Amino acid sequence: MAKFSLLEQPWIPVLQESRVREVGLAEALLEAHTIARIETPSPLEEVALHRLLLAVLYRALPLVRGGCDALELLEQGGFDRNALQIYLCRFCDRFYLFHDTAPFLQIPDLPDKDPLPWAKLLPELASGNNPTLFDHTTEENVPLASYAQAARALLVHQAYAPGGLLKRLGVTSAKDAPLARPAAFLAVGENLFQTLVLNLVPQKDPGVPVWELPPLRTQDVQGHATRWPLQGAARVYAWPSRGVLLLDEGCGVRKVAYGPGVEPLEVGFRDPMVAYRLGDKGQVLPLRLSVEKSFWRDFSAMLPAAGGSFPATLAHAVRVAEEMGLRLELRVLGQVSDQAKVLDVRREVYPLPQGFLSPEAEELLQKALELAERVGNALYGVAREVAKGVLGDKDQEELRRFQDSLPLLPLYWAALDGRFPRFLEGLAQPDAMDRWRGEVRQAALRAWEETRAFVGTEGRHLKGLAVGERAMGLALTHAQAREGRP
Amino acid sequence: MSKAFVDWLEKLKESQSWTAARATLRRSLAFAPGAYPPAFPYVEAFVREEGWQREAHYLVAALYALKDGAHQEGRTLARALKEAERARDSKSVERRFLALLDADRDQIAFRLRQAVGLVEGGLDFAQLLEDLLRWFDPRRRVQARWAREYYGVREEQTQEGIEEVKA
Repeated sequence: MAKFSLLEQPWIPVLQESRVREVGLAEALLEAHTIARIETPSPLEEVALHRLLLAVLYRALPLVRGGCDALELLEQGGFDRNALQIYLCRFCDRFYLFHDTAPFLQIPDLPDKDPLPWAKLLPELASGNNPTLFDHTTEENVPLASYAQAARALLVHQAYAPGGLLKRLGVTSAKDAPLARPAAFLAVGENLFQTLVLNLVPQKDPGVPVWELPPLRTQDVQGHATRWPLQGAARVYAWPSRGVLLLDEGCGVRKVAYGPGVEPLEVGFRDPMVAYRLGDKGQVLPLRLSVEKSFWRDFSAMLPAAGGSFPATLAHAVRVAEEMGLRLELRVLGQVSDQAKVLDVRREVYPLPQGFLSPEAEELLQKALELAERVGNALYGVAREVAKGVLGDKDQEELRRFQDSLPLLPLYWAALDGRFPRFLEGLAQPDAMDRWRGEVRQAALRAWEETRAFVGTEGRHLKGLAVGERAMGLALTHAQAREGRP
Repeated sequence: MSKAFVDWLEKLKESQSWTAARATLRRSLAFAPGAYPPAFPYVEAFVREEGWQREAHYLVAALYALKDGAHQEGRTLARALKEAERARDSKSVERRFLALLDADRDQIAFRLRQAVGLVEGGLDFAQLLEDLLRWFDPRRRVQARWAREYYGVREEQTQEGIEEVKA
């Protein structure tokens, strides 16, 4: 029995003619030029859905070999309907959410004796050891998921499941799914068609996606029987990280059978959506999001000057977009996890100005980020001075807690979080750096004013503030004096 | 207004009646401010309101007498205390200073007297009166300024900092 075709049934939320509606995968691709973008509140879903569409495109269209091919594709204004339809038709029976022998991205004969609530598939939902972020469902009262919801959750899980203890089917622990730790970079154009072309990074061999292979069975994943090299965008973008089987209740999904998936073999493949940086020991590390800071503060880590590399999607998209004079937006999306615990999911949006890839822009960016960090470090010192002024420096632990409770640094960074996109947008203007200098100073001073109001007015508080103010004055003079030097 | 009051005290100091006035005003420190009738002739003419405003005038006049009229414009109590701390090289001055910042209306007369007792040399009494009149403002701006004067930036230090950076 085959039910809920992901090609035909609506399940991908898109913004079309200023309305959000759900479409099937076929429509999303065929009508991509009329769709503004994929529109979902979940950053993880946004990435996973784009990756699925891209994986299909890698196989359905002639291979994009370089910038010229991408330009040509863009000029056509829409995808080749014929090629898409032929491809989708060929594999249409592999895109059913429920299928006796080949359910999409699942394992049909997975034992269902210990099913899990479907919420387990999404890190945003509270279940297992996920901290409760936004959601208060409990494992006892899991709501019924619609088929569309379940399909999206499945996709997210296969891309984002963090590694860890598993203890099913002879497998004790599973590895990270491809995007469990790194941040994903998506270049977004004016419509979904542009976005997809911009992220269709040329690949020598995109690999064979899971729906073109014989369906996986329980025996294939038992005891990690199947290992595939983690390679090729089409393969990696729809990677069966875990064995999952959605259990249909007739009108929705409440439980899933669960087990190990295909074990990835590391072969040094660089995911096109991931930025890499050089580690302390010369190793290449994917760039991650962190709980306490916004991504832009790590921008410099992926600048080639620092030994990093831009994500292929970004480099490709900027080159193509400049040729065509397109407006681009960069989205950085991902989850922040601590081992198997997901702490946060994030989406950050930045404008990408023309000339972003030039050495001048890079140098300017580097300088701006350094200034912000330097003042940030100085403010850290100021916070310490305030804490010492208020508490004395006897108990280090208490001192650190008080210091952390001060709003000085969070406010400073929050202010710059708001300002940085504008700086980025005006990167090409001659006074960009001057304006940034002003923003940094303003952010620091405002954060200080708020901190003043926060601390209190008893004698010891006033003492702390007076000491802090002195440090503050020194800090700002320092930062400026330093900046002029090579 | 505060300036006029201190000017008058300064003039009093130059006159022959200062010795008697000084004794009376010093004696008034043993009473609650404004509660010692013999001090009235020296202060009452300057009092515009009842309450703390009146008490502050009596307090400043008494402290002025305590320091034998050592008025020095621009030398605030906070700064003088900082100098006292450095001269004695002891933390007790700072403790008294912090206690003074937190003083409420019952404590302030006593703590001020203590603090002024620690100071060598003159004080800006006009400024002191000015500050006392606004002491109980809920925003506590005066106390914050005192703290800044006590712990705050000293010119030479900023300069040092910049030199250090340039080096």
